[in-house]
Amino acid sequence: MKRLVLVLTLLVSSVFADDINLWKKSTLNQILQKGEMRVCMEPGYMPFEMKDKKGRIIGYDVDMAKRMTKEMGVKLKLLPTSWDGIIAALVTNKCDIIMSGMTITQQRNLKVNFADPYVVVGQTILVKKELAGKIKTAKDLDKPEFTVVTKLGVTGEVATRKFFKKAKIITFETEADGAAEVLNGKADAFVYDQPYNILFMSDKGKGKLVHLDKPLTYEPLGWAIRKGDPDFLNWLNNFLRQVKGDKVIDFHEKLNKKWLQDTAWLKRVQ
Amino acid sequence: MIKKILLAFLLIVSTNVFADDINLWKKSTLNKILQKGELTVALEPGYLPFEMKDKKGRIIGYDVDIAKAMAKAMGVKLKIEETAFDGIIAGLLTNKYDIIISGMTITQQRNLKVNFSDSYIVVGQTVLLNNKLKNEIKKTKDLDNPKYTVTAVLGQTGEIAARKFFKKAKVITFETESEAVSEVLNGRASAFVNDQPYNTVFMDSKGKGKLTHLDKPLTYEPLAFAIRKGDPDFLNWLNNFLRQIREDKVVNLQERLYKKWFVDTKWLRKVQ
Repeated sequence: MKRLVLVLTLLVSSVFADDINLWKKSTLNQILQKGEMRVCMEPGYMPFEMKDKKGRIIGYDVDMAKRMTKEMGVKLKLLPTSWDGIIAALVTNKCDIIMSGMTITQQRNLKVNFADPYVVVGQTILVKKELAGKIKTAKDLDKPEFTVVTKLGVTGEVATRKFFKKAKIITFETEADGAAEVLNGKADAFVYDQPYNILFMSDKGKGKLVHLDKPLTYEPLGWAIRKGDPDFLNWLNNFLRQVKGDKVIDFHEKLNKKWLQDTAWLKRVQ
Repeated sequence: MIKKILLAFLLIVSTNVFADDINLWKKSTLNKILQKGELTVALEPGYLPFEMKDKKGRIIGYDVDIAKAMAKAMGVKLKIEETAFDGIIAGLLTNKYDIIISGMTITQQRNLKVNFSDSYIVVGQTVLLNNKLKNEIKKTKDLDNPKYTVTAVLGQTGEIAARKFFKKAKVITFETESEAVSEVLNGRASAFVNDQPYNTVFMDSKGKGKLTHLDKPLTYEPLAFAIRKGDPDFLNWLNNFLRQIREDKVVNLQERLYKKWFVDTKWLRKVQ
């Protein structure tokens, strides 16, 4: 009889709405139980994650991860992971989340889920100073007399080839070589990631180049988590709304200023 | 017996080792679409300019272009299932297709049965006015007077909106859009209430120079993709896809589609 009652109670417990197993298996729940959140990132994408002179990982994403774990009340563990294996590492449970300046793309989104974008970057243009009066938008540059340079095989090249049908396009192995070509006057403009261009303008490009800073592309960066975990996604999106919307603490604005506008941190890495 | 218990125990433990609910993703429609290599979309041709048949019987429209872009982004083939609107939700629930992309308005009643993505376009009811009245009628409120007659299509959102907004004016309903709007064209009625996309297209053809479009919508009707409940992974993909086609000005898909189907009216020649 007691057994029957027990069985019945067990049956009744499944009457509860919602899938309690979903929450039990949620990465968020497991983070709380372990008391630790493991974050995959590849240090090497400035200013989101990079190593300082002492070999410590610093950057926009690191500060965000610290804030996140503070809110959860758990410890933070950063796992440096090479970019080409980073999604595989997440899917096979080597870490709990990817926070590594990752662009939300529809292809990646077939394998992982993304939280809302925490920052949007895009491709912008650095132009020779002599052309500043003539060139106001990307369109003005698309003429056969102009040469546009960019880095081979990255979003910069894709955007350049889409936007410039008439101008001459030359690609380089590194962004430094591409930008140098404009600095020494052999090319007219350089197309690359906005954060890099901002840094370049505060440094070598100052007084020599002009930054057309309206992005050509839309590249929303988002945190990636495993599929099948709506509870973690709910927490992340509410956390994000709070850090963006709360102007008293003003965390998001401070982070943008510290890493994307100011360049004081450059001295720590060079 | 012990072995069986052990086995059962192992099964429970091993499924629990994986973080997240792996079954949720396994059962996700998105996962099944990828495995089949095909996205099956339900729509009812007949809602201009979202889905309709051209002279050769091919289904074209705003939603068809969106569905093509969606399938391309997934890397799968696209299959269009022509489905009558009154059975379109039942068909989704019984697994006849993966998604509804058919100019469907998000309503709280439908949302009790299916989930909706974010809206991909917002439409509303607008008013076409006989030109003779354009000086005395500047806004919808001015029309609500017993001396005016307003027409709408029976049983559609237009009729609901007309009866809500015009308590004093006379409201007359017709079976079809073309009958209702003709009343205004030939001067027997003052104004016609209908979907904004229809009214925009009408103003570019028969209404030009004869009617005035009060184009501030009376209603808020967000259109969205409908999917089955219990599938958060598919929803996450759809909403990220929508954000990208809205914000990415390189590909500029959403604006191009808006221009192609709502601003230009070249496609009208393909269907008439």
